[in-house]
Amino acid sequence: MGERRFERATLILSRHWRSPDSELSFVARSVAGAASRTSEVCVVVPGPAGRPEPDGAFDLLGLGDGEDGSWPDPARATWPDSLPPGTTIVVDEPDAAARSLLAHFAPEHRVHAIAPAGTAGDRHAIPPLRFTAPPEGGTSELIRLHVPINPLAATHRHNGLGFTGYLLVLSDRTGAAGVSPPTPMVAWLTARFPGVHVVVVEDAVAAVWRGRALRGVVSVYTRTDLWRLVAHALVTIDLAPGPIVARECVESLRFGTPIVVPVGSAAQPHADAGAGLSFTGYAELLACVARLSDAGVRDRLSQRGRLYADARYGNPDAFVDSVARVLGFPAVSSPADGRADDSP
Amino acid sequence: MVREPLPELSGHPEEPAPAMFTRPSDAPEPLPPIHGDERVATLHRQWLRSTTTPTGGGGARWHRFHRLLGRITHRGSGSLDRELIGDLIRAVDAVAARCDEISERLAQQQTVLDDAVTILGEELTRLRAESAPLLGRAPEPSPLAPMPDG
Repeated sequence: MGERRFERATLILSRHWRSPDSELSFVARSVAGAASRTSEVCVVVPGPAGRPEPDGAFDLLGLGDGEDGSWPDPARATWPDSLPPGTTIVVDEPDAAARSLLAHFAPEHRVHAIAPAGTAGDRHAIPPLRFTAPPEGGTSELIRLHVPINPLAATHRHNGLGFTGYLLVLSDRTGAAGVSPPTPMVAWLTARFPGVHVVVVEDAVAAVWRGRALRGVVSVYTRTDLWRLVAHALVTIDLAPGPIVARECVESLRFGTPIVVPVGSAAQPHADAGAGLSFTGYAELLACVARLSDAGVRDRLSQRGRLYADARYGNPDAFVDSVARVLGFPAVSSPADGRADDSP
Repeated sequence: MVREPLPELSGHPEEPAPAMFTRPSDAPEPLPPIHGDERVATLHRQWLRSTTTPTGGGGARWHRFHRLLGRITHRGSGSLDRELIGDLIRAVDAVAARCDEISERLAQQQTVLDDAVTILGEELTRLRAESAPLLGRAPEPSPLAPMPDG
């Protein structure tokens, strides 16, 4: 198969490309992959300039070294010089250093940001791409990010757990000395619901609590381990959703597990779409979980959530076309709305 | 996995979270009764044989056991020894019965304790959560937190 050549180009300016644990990296890599269907893609990262560095589907171009892994000053940066004039630029985090580079090297280019940054009214702020939308909002400008799952993960529970039907909590802390004591929200949950197992995922470990006591710890080695935990939970409580699309929440919804998420987080639009509940503090969190103890409520949210997440985040063709549309490129296919294309 | 901690959820210092137990409060499986233990049953069987008139081929074994008891007690085969051993066996029975009774009471206490901890802890937590909006998150000591010195 011959190499495709495009007249258009997309420059991905990514400071988080090499941080695979971050949602910014996941989204930047996904957008780069989708953009590659309709344009040339050039990925630029902080690092030594010169020879391109192979990294999977893309070669990474170093722009020069800044302090602490950030971007270099424009005076010391080596900007790629072979880009077409109409190149569209996507920057993962439009911080001051990135904006300085763009103002110096690409003042006339169309620029999109993945992460929101800056304050309202900031004339230097770059409008962010939209990956979530409120239920009543329009979806024409929405990037329908493809969040993949493996449906087979729902067929077997996690090997380390001998039970299902637990509350799964994705923790809001990292680097703790140990799993005990748990993060405060987990303490409230296990004290309020002493008869229910509370499984807390934190730093690649799942700690099982019941009746205010730690019952055991199992490892979460792979994404499939996490998916198994999500697929067999009563509800997923994400205390710190990802800032762009709340990836784990979308995965949970695609497995049919309702979510409980903080108000104001990137996951709230998912909950507001009828797929879960949102809270502002421990009192509301406990009330949400108590409400979801009703199997009827849980089943209703589960069905709505699965339909919503599969339709909006489960179709790779729709993702590619939405990226092309928002970046101003012609679409390559006709997406089938509501069709989830993940297959075992 | 993505983790983006939100400061407002990292804990409310003015409202301490419930304390955790270092050990589960669950009532364990009840202890098996010692009265029906095989060792006690063996003692009874042996005693029954020693006090039963031997018949047929069992006479030799009975004599051997009798001599064994005699060596243990450094006495003959008088009625005083048999009474003493009988008293000893009855004492073992009494201690076993008392142990079983204590085990049963302990199991009941563990169940009561677990129920109390579970029910009261749940109700207390629910009350704290429901009263939080009424209190406007006013600083208050946690009833489950250790009391300050002095």
